[in-house]
Amino acid sequence: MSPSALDNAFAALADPTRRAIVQRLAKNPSRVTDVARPFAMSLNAVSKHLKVLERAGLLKRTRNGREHLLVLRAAPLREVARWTARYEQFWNERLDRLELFLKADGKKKERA
Amino acid sequence: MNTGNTLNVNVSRLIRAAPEEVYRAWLDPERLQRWFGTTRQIVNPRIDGLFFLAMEHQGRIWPHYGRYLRLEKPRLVEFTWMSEGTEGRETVVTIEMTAREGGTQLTLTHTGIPDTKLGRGHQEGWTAIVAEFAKALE
Repeated sequence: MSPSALDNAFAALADPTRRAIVQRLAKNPSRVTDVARPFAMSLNAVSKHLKVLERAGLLKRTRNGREHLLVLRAAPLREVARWTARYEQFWNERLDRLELFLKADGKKKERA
Repeated sequence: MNTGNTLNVNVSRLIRAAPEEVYRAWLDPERLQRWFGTTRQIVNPRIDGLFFLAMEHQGRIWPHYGRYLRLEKPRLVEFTWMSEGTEGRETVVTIEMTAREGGTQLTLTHTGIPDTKLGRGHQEGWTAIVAEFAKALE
């Protein structure tokens, strides 16, 4: 995933309405009208949010017979998660090593 | 100029050693070297003292620099942290240690990790939200 694609994913997710849409679609693919229902805004306004998510590669539209469904695309979200988790992983690994070190150090003292 | 977008990381765990031992492990150069995984370290553990930690990762050396901001034995260590990963920005790492039954509760907070190119307006709970999404999508 290119940096600019990651930028787009982050920008798209910086909006609470769009995060709510993503959260809903994470549960299951839905029709536009179902996605729009919980929001106090016009279908047109919701459509604009959907377009932003679509451009960011976060969702795609599929057709199931006559029904148009919105489906979440997981890849960009995983990339976002990977980025934010990088430092978390770094410190967790360090703390694993700290634990092991102090355990060994404690044992040495017991013997001494 | 873009200054507002930063990420925070928070990790916490119970360590089976006394706070004094945990505190010493962070600041004693010889001890630090044995667990932190550095190939070279220069540590001057006093307020405004500087440190250099070199770590090998993916076949090359990654330098880290910092300055001790607060040292409150045995409950708190705070230092600045600069590396390629912070894009040269001075981020802050705070380590708090509290005595608990069976050891020390250690909480590490890393604040100000730049997110310059990535996103606008995502702050608290961002990591958690994203992790939740990612999990839901696996």
